[in-house]
Amino acid sequence: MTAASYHRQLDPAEQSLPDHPSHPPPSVPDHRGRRYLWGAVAFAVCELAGMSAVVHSYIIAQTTLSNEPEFIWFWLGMCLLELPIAGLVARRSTSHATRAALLAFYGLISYAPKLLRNPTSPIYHDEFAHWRETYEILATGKLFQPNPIIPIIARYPGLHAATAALVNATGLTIWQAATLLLIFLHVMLVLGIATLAQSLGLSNRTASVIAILYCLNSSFMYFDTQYAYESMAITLVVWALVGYVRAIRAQSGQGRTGWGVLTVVLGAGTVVTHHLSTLVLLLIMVLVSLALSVPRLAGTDGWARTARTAWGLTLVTALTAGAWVHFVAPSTLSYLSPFLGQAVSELTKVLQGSGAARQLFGASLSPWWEQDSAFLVPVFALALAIGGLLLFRGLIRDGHLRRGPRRALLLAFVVLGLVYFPSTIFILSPSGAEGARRSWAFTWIGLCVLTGIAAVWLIDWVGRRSQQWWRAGLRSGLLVALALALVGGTAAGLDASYRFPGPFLYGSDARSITPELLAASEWFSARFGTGNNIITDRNTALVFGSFGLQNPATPSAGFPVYNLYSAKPGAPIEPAVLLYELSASRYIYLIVDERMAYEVPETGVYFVPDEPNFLSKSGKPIFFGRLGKFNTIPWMIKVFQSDNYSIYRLTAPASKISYQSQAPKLPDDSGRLSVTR
Amino acid sequence: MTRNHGFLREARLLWLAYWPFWTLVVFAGLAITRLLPQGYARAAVAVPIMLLVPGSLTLGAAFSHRHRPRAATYLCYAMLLSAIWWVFAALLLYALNIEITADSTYLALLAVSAVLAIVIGGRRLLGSQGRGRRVALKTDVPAPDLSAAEAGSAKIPAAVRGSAYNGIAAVVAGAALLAGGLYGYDHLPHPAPTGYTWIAWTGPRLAGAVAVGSAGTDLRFQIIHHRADPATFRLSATWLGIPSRPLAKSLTLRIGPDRTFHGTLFIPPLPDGCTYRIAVTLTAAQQISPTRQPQSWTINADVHDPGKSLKTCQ
Repeated sequence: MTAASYHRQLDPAEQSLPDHPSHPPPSVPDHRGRRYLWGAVAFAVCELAGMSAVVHSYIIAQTTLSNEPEFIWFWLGMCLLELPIAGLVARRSTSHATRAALLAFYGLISYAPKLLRNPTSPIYHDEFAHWRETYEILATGKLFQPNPIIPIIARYPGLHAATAALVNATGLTIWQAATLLLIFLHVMLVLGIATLAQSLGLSNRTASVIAILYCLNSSFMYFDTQYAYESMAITLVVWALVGYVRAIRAQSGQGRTGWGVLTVVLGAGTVVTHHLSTLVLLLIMVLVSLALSVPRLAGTDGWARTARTAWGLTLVTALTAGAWVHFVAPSTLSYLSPFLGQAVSELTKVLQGSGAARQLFGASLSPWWEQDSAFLVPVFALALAIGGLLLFRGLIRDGHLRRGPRRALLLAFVVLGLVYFPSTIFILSPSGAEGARRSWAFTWIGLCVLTGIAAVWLIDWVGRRSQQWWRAGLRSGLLVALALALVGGTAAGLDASYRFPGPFLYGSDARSITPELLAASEWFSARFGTGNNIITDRNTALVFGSFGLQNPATPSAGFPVYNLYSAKPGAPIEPAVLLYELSASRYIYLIVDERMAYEVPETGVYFVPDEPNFLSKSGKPIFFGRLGKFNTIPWMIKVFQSDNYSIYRLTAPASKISYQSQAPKLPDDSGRLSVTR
Repeated sequence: MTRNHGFLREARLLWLAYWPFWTLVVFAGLAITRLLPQGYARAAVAVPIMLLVPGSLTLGAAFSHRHRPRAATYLCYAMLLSAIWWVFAALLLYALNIEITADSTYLALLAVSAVLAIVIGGRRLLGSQGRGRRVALKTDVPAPDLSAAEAGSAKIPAAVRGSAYNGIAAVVAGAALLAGGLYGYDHLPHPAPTGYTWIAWTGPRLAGAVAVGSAGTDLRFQIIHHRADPATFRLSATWLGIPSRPLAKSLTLRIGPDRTFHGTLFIPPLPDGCTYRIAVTLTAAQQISPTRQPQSWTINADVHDPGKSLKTCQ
């Protein structure tokens, strides 16, 4: 392959076959018209069948914990929905306008799995916290209301304020407004990736392929579609980068100031929405600025000007972020720093052999082929990345990618993409896995620039094969690879219990909400009002802390409320100061999910991730036989019991309460029970 | 040229000349959407205005007409900037210590839009000083750094025009497919939700021991049976202790599906001032929940007579 042909891939407008076909010969239109019609019908059938298959998969998933047909139907549906769009986007003859439309359509239909998963209310852990925060803004008319589920989100009101504005303007419910906003942001994300790639000087076709490849990342289908601040921030980051790149590349007086303004405004939008996205945006901006400051990369006339623009915008964004963290969200650093520190320390232990690596897909409900395809994704990515790097090398060597801002920008994004590969190692660390997965939504922006160029080269190479059967076979192979990457990319993200509906699964974030729990929470709020400080487990706290508007305790080593549950009957509850603290902080209610005595949570967490080990050597919960004590503790009164939940009122101070160990000297049945309907 | 064409041309010119003002008027008209019923009907009218106006004005204020983003990029930026203005408006209201309500948000966004429209006007005023043939003919010098793909894409106005129709069709089709999928999912049979039974105290809140007077007292409770099938239960009340003793004669209840029973437990006068614990227990006559063993539900309370002596208490 010559460097000239490499260049054609990067810059297809120079190819002999333009993106827009020239005037066809007179005899062709009829034939083309019929083909177009049949193509459109086939496309519509694929989309309808795909959606039906996805719906069917969710219907059959509802009755079993996990079964293979639900996965087969789901992926069949998703392939029918998405692969035809990918094929059309990658076609050279597809017009720019059609590609943009197809990407918008792709953005919409790729939201279907999450929309069907929880169309009427939150079910993911963080969604409850964000729902509550939005509710508080609407109820109080004030931002920054304390959040009992995830305290840090109160300091980042972007998503909640936007949802509240939508609720106020339309009268929709919080969840309806949130869904509408998320669908909009999801579509914007797909279009944003394509626009960013085009801003880097890539052709419309390559940019659109890059957008499709980006949609294979593990966060795209479920994680970045949840009602959480990162779902809004990722879109803002991408569009801020579009503005940033355009500001850098614009000539003086040709909209540079305008693009700069957009960068600053979108950067500020990111700053008030999500901490981690802000950090990543800044890191990318610094990376780009550094690349633009290297004369070997960017050294043409006026390179100092572009570097100044880049550094200037980076500085403004950094100052905005710094001011926000300093004045509004000072708890951000203490919130974020333990994650990285823990991850590095765990990984070091794993590498030294003194710690156990996290078992990948350890408790996964996914079938083997889904898990295996997840391992293929980095392999495919690596192969395409190597191809992309070779193409870049050829372009630079042959002088097709001259020194200048464009080369510097492209290489900065390539470096960003290459960060994906070392980050995959963090998946072995329990603390780092979450962070690694979250970072992929950002590193894949760069990775897809690199792999997209190689993918387009590959598609064209296949298209140049002279034998039709060979061409068809290779194209089928590419589609299969794309399908595998789609399956594997998604499987590498959230577990099946998040992705599919199903029966109750104790301790799972997305399948532990039952009508019984909702009814208990509703009863509690009706009986005791809202805003009570309560003690309960992680999953019960989600419902009581959101819809119930209560304030669940956040257990920690310094405030170990889980000791109430784990204390042996008759033994004192340690530390002694705990009861005093509970009383002083007015924790009046204790809610017990009695299944904790005999079930191990799917997430492995009863209360908080850094809790002590609550499993015995045999793997059984230590709570077994220890929850009945609440019925006899003098300072607890059981005010409610349903099939699985008991609610106790704590009557403090504990030391002054006691009841007689013997019944009063009264004749039996001297009381009276009566009931009415 | 027909009269219609002439009118359209006039309207277009009028729009181009005063678009910030017209969009501001459209945004001001958002107040009228309050007359529509809350929900999707109002959203269908209000959301496009909310999503387009503040962002479009921001783009107008930030860019000259010639360098403004076009087509899909313009729309995306307009919508995202609008969404960010919703957030900034809320922050502004918070900073001014104004409650965030539908009215205050609307007024804040209207004020922001007005300021942006004024900026656009000011920008035009400054720009018009250089108006003239020479200025109009001045073309942008292509950036030396442009790739051929970018240089080429600038020459395809048809694509820009076509993108609107294709984009609208794609959004409508995508939204219809999503809505269809959702409708289908909602209307297909779902497994019945798991039922539950509960017992809970009602009446005055229990905060510590309940005072029992010389005439005794009533404690009220509620039983809810939220299951598809009726079930038979035994309702009993006991004095807790070693040993426990019956407090009242137990009752047998047959509770139908989704029924609520209100119960009362009469506590007789107590012999002394000590605190005693009582329990009300509902026991299923047969197994009604596949997971729960034993099938019983209990609530308890402490009772005492504050007017009597504590001498004999432990």
